[in-house]
Amino acid sequence: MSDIMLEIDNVSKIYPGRRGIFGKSAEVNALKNVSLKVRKGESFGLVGESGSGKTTLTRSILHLETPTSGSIRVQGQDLGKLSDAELRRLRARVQIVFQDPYASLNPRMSVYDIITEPLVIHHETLGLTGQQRSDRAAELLSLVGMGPQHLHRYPHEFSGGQRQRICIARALASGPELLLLDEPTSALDVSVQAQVLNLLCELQDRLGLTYFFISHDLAVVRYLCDRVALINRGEIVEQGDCADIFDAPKSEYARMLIGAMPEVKVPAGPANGGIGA
Amino acid sequence: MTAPLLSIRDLHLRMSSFDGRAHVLNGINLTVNRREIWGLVGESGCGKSLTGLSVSRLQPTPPAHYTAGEILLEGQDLLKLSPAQMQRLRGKRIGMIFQDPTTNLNPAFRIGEQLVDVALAAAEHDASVIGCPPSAGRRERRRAARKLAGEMLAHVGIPNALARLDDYPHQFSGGMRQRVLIAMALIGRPDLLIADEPTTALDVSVQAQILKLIKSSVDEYDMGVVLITHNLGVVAQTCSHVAVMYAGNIVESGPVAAVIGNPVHPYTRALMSAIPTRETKRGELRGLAGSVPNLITPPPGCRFAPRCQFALPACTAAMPASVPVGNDHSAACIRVAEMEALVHE
Repeated sequence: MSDIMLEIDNVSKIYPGRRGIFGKSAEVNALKNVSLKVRKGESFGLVGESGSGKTTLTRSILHLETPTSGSIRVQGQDLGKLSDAELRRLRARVQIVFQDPYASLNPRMSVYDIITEPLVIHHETLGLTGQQRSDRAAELLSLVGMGPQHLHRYPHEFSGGQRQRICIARALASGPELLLLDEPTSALDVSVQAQVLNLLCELQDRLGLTYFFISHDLAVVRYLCDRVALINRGEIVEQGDCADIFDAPKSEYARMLIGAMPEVKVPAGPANGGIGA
Repeated sequence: MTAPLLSIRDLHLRMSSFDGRAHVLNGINLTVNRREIWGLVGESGCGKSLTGLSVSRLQPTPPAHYTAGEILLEGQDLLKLSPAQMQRLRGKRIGMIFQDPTTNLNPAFRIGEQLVDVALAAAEHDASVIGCPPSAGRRERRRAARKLAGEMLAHVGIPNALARLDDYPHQFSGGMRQRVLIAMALIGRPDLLIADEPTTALDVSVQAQILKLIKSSVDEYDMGVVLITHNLGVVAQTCSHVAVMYAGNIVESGPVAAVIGNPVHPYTRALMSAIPTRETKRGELRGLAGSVPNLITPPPGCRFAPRCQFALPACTAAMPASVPVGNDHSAACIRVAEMEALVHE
């Protein structure tokens, strides 16, 4: 078997224009011939501004959106050609963590229910008994740095960082190999962001996960990812190793994006006052 | 010497909630002069937005309750003004830009009308804003205000400004709407601009343009700016001075080059090391353990002590006073003098 986890081949997505009372709106070409390959065990970053097609591409990988043309293969299986049952089995192996931990947890479900829900849904594939599910839930929580005492609480009792940890635990429940991370830290404070990023690094080393990391924060992508693709208006502008792109961007768009990145650099100015000066 | 543009002195603010009273601002001291851009940074819930809202008196009382302190705008205490007097200052002397450009424009009115309203309100305070005498007729004043609105839109970089005055907010993109809001904040030629996370909802490329615009307006309008943000990168790029807040206190403040180049407060240091930079190796990002304290029952003494790696028993005895560590640079920590040695250990 090849070492390609995810292969996106020439994918285009056109949203047809809609006919409304004010006439017909134009069709939207959300993705234009996007091709990329994600290797097993790597972190692949997808960077783009709002409206660039990041979300459409992510939804296509989950097969929540059907591409107009082109194919998406996860470990060699073409998503467009799978039956519903096969697709369900595949989805146990591809999971997602969403951007907003405040909106992506059901407030009426306890942490236990949230984490075991994927185990129930994928019962056919995983075949865990009730007791095994409970054990697995406790194990998942400790994996993301929380404890079994949190199992029977509700989302509102947790901070943003803890909620995102719960989302990660839920995504890991079915034992996925590919994890889609849709801006998992952009709703968090920097100190909490650092904790979550470190957790993601640690989980990848421990579980051998493949990450598909979507973000508009270049600093975070540079920190976490091995390779990166820049997407603009539905087209991949540049892709390659993170170091190459950040140090020597080739396209105008990449240069612009990297130039606009606010970095914590000491600005030129009056000499720094030393301690006790 | 004339009074500074904005001087916040020992401001204490308590908030009533169902769980009790939270001491959310705990002795804020901040002085902003004209042509200075002060960055107010800190994590969610540290009180940075409340400080901004206190200056424009947009924080309803109750639930808020100012227990001590004063907010002086060129010597005049804003906390003592009546709501009507305060309303006359907003838009004219104090301009504000908020975080979310999508919700701060009225969707039912053309943006030209919204800008004209602000200009006319400001003109009641200072007729020179729209450049026509107070004796002028209503129609003439409106025409002058509309002309000014067009000029302001062009000034903030909206192409084809005159034609776009007749557009509705939904016809603008996020970045363009934020420009409209900046035009609205600047149209009364304010002395003080309070920008509360003006670029958080925007893409980095648009963010860079907006920050450049704010920066260039400072000298042009001879104003002072308080830029509230959680992004230290934005501060490093845009501001002349910075105040770092934690749990209702300013823990470190001073010129940007001094504070970012040589942070002395442990919280500032922790905040900076939590941001991934070019040099950060994978897995080596230093997060800050623990979480922001509960402000209803805050920890005794220094509020950062429970999370501080350098904390001593003495830290919990009393709130540390702000001590100068250099030119205008000060930090509220009892171990400031030892910090350099501690860090190298």
